[in-house]
Amino acid sequence: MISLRNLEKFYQQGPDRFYVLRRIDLDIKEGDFIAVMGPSGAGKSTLLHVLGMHDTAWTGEYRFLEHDIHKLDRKKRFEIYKKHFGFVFQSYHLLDDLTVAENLDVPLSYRDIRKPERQAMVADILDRFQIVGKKDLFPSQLSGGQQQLVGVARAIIANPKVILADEPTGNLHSSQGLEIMEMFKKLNQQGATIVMVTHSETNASYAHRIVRIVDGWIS
Amino acid sequence: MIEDLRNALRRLLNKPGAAAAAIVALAVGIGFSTSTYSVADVLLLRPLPIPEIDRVFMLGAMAESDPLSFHSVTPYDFAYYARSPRSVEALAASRGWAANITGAGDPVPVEGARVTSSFFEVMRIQPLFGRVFLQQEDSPGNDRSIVLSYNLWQRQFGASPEILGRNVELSGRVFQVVGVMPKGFTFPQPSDFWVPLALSSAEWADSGSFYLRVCGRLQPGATLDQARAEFKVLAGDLARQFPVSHGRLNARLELIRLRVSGDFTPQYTRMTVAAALFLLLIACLNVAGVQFSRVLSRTREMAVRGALGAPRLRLLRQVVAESILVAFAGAALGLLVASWSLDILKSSMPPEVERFVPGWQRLGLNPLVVFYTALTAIAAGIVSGLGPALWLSRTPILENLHESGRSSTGTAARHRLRNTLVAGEIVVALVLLCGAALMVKGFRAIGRPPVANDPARILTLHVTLPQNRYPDHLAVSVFQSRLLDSLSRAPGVQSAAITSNLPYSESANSSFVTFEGRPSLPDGRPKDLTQVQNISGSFFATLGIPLLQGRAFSGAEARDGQRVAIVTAAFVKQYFPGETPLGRRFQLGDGVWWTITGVAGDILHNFTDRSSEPLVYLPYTQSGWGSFDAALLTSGDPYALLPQVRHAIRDIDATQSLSLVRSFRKLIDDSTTGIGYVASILSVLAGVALFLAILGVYSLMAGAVRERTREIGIRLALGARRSHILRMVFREGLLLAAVGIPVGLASSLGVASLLRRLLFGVTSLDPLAFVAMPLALTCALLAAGLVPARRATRTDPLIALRHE
Repeated sequence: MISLRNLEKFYQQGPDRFYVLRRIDLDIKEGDFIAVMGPSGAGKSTLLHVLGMHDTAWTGEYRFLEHDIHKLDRKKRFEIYKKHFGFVFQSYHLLDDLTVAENLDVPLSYRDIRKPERQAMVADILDRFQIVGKKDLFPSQLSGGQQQLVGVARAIIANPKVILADEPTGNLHSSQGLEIMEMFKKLNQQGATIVMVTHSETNASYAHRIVRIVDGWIS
Repeated sequence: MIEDLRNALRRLLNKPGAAAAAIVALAVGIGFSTSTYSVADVLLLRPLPIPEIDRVFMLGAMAESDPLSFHSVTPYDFAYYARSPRSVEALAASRGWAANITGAGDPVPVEGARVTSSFFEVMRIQPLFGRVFLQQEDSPGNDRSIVLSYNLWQRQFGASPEILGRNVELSGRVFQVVGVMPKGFTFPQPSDFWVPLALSSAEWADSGSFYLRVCGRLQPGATLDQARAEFKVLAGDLARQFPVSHGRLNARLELIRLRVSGDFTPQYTRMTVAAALFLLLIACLNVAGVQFSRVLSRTREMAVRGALGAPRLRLLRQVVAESILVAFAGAALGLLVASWSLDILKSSMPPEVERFVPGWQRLGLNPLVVFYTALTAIAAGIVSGLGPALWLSRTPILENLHESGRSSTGTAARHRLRNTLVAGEIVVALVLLCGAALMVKGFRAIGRPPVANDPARILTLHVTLPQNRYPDHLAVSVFQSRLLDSLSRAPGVQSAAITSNLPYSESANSSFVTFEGRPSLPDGRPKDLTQVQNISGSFFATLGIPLLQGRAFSGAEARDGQRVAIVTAAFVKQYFPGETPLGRRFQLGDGVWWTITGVAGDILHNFTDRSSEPLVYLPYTQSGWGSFDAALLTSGDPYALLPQVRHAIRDIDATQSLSLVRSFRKLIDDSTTGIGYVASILSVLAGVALFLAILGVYSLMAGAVRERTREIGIRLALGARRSHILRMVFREGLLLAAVGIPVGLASSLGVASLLRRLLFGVTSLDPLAFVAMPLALTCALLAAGLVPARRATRTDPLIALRHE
């Protein structure tokens, strides 16, 4: 599903290059659940953002399904991202001014889906995540775990093939983290491909495979 | 889009502080823009409630030497013009008539017009009730109908519904009311009434008296240029027929809506509209600054939305939607500002002047103005949202996710854009300040009295003697002599004078002049021109004009005796340079020789005069007519003399009334009211612009200090003195002034040179404007930066280092 070949990312510092990712070769199959681990500054999050096409300044080959991402312009990459990817952030990044239901509606509103259909999808996801009672609350009225639950719900509401999660439990208590990981497991069982950056061995144990990165190299 | 607007509304309500500042700035910008548009609407676009006003034009005679001149035409000219043009549907002539309503108590002065029956055909305006003139009513003997203006009907006849058929006596002639015109229609300005212009065949054949004002309506589909071409040919015919009087005249056609208020009003109106749009631009730049800060504070949100699939266009739309919402809120408040400023404008207009400003009564908010405001709001919203939106479009939003929503990129670009916005404000504000300074200084200069005596102590009034009672010069001069004698003897009067036209009264007579012993042009046409004024001998003493050579008129100059004249220094300079003018003789086109017996000092007769024109004074006993002004130099309050003046007039002729009774000071002020309005409006706009520019610089520097709190803390912790910090913060403001002020100065000089035709009493390179204003603005900007700069110096390093 995803194939990276000789992918590199560096920052030019005077005459020198500072490499963040070095000769990355990685294959991810549909339905995989991969944990990316490594020390701070190793390049884990950078790799995740390259996969999520947020980062465009890299070299090498990136193939996703039948698309050669490295050959596409920014607009086409963005279309592919929008169609197939969902993103879960460490610090949730819910929009403060919107209610839970409205936050869930945001990704749908960017995908040319008619309002009645969107409402049905939001209702469905609220039900699936058992947060119907919180739909009119604002993020500031939720606990961290509840916020991240909404963040995960928001990431998958548009039915992405791939979920990218950047330390999704980093800001949560262990019990809340467990709840989120159980949710990822369930989603993976339902067919979602998951790539998750984590420092936690416990979280990594939910994955089928662990990819370790040190100083930009896959070890 | 509705969803974007709804979200934007919610965000604005959540953080109302910044939004309120932006809304107030836009309210001021949109409010003043709306009020100047309202003025333009009544003065330029729809000064008269005439259907299809863009098909109606005014026709005047233009001197070849002065393309801006717009003189009346002769009856013969009108008759000739009315014959042939194919592009014209109807042509009408009118002549002003200052009369008195007599026969019912004290005479009441009124001003109206004698018009041809085609006049209402050209205007195409239906009476409120009754009818307009029939075709045969503009012939001698049939001219007994009168149409009243709405105002006169209300004022003089108590809006009586039985007015039709009633008789009205005007200066001893009886007319029958046949109609009342609707409210707001007064043309020619001012018109209390209309009566038929019934000229005899002999009068229609007169090609030497230029007193008819002409207006016409174009055929459907015809253009003004077509009509101009046709009338040019006809004017050429007239010039060939009458080379002496018409040889240097051409026909000038202008749309009535641009001509009806005079030459300068449309230009001044455009100038104030442009100034208001400048202010609006400053407000937009200000709001753009506020919006920019809002966008910056939402970088994380924008990044998240981008990560959730928001197209870039959608993010931009969201920013612009917020700006448009702010602009609409500003527009709603702006309508209040406009309504309030229009009320002030209307209430400060002297009634003596208002009568001459067509459409002024209709000044106010109307659906067209509100529509303009809505358009302005949308434009302002787009303009003020565009800068932040463009910045956003160039920022790699998604990459901000790396930084947990904190933008580390684009700092230089961000500063550049914000600095550009404020520098733009400084440039535009300086242009407005310089423009306002020029207008105010000019206005103060032209308001200075043109004569030596204190104008506040001079009472002036106008008398119009009816031709049927005062048919010739003898009858008129007898009345004038008796009046002069009576007024001179009144207690409190130091000196009394009569004159055909007072300085600044905006009426003047000019004539070609031929000098004894000097040849005319080869074809017999005279080549020189002078202004002519009839006066009593006391005129110079009453106003305080020096007599430089010779003697004043004694008052005993008889019409059948030697004709004498006093000329001005400008006349001597132009026609007798280095020669003695006394004893020299000239003709004024009537075959009579006038001998120069004195030379008087120069005065400006209008504030629009760049220099004194050659002028000839003739004694009223030898030349003049029944429409004249009187001036009384008093020892105290001139208005206290009013009862005695009325009494003196009534003693001579009980049917006579006075009009335009006011001090000479008031007359000068009234004549400069228009330019005073422009100066006041520009001053207010410039003041607000200055305030907004100060606000812009303050916000910028406060924002910069906020952003650099950590840096300032580090510097202080490393041993920087408070003065270092002060200098560092001030440098940014000074740099903006250093860029904005030279650019603003250059722009101001350019604008002033474009407007030099509209500047009076001041040169377009006046040092006050171009030195004092930039200095004042620099000081204001430094003061604006003082508060944030001082705040920066008081930063606590420990708190600052925890800031992030």
